[in-house]
Amino acid sequence: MARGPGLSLQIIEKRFPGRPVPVFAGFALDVEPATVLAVLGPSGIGKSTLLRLVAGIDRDFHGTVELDGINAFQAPPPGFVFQDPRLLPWLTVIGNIRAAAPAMSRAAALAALARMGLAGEADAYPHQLSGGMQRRVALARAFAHNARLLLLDEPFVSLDRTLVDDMYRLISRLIGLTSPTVLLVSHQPQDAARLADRVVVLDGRPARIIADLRFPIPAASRTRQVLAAYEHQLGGFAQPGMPLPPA
Amino acid sequence: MVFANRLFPSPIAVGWEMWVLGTQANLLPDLGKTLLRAGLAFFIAMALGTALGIVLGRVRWLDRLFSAWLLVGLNLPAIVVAIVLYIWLGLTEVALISAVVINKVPLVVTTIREGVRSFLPAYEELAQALRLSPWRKLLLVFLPQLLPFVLAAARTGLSLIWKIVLVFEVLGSDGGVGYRVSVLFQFFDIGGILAYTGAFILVVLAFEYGLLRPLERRILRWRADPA
Repeated sequence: MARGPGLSLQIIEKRFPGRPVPVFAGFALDVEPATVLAVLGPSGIGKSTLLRLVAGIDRDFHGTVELDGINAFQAPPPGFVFQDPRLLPWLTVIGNIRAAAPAMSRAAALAALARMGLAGEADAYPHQLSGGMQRRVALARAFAHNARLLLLDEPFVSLDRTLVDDMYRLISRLIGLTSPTVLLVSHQPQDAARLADRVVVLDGRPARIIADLRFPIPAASRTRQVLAAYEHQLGGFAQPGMPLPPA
Repeated sequence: MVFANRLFPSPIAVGWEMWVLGTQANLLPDLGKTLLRAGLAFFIAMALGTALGIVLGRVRWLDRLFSAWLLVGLNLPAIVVAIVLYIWLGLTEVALISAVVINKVPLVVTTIREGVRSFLPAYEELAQALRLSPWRKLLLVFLPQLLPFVLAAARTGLSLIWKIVLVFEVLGSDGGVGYRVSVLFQFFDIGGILAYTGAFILVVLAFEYGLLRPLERRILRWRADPA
């Protein structure tokens, strides 16, 4: 399995119509191959915009996105997990998986679903699944075509704690299996600390990187370090009452 | 008896009349003629209206340019269109079918345009993220969102077409259910009129329950409430 590519992002300017200040201006970010990078920051700072620019969903900006030195928009599509499951409701579960990977055989798609604990749901329609199951289908879809670049936009938002733990385990295992380069956007420091090898914190307008942390250390310790950096840099921006994991 | 039988025939009498007209007279050829006209007008109007609706739903400036014309089309009295076309083109099949199409198209355009406008940008984003080819985007994202509106346009359109085809046949044609009803009217033959009407309604019901509803259930089976 090929490891994830190096990602190089240079945004000269990204501006939304009618907004006087650009979201990004002179923004640069380089991500090493097969790195899990978490992007943290307050709501509206441009985290999701960053993912949309990398995915090619929004191409209305000045700048470049390169994967291993090649224009990212000419590379195979990334795996994308949106904030909502965003399944096509008129396709069955297996239809949704194969929408992302048309060359995938039914047997391979069934195997992918089995890895997610959804083996019996292949021919169900999305409205017949629970919210947690829909999230798992969305995750299976993102990994379906063996994407070397994976973009996760708040994948744990509005999930209860049990489901979040399930999703963590699934994502960690899938990342372990395929070693993609991952951009994880979140406003929860715990998400970043549990999954990421590196965390960047964005703030300001235009957005800039105010902290860049690399973690060659175990996950539990990471969480403490990310929380500390986050609260220090943003003046207690982290959610009040958020439990600290044991050191 | 308060009412004379001749004006208020019993259902059995109407059924018998239907049988007699069907086996010994022109009921079946007339029905066939009307159905052919309605079918042709329906397919032309649906094709034209769907194409125009998609264009107006997607291209804002064209929509602004033609929205007033669409309003005129929606409110143009059907009978005026038929009379004008009969004068211009004569009492021909082309005039009759064109009149039906002109009356029906604005309704289809409006329904389809609203459908296209209601497409969720979220699915467009998904298509972009998955880098779907234009063909797969059409099949997987565009058509499934459009189909419920096409079905709605088909249903409302058919009910309109059934009615106006008959009116236009009364106004000027050489056969068909409307024409025959107008002839029967000359003789105050209420039994014959009701027999033709009943036969026509049977065809409409067969079309609705035999074709349209099963098709709708199949196409919209992904919905929580498909019917």
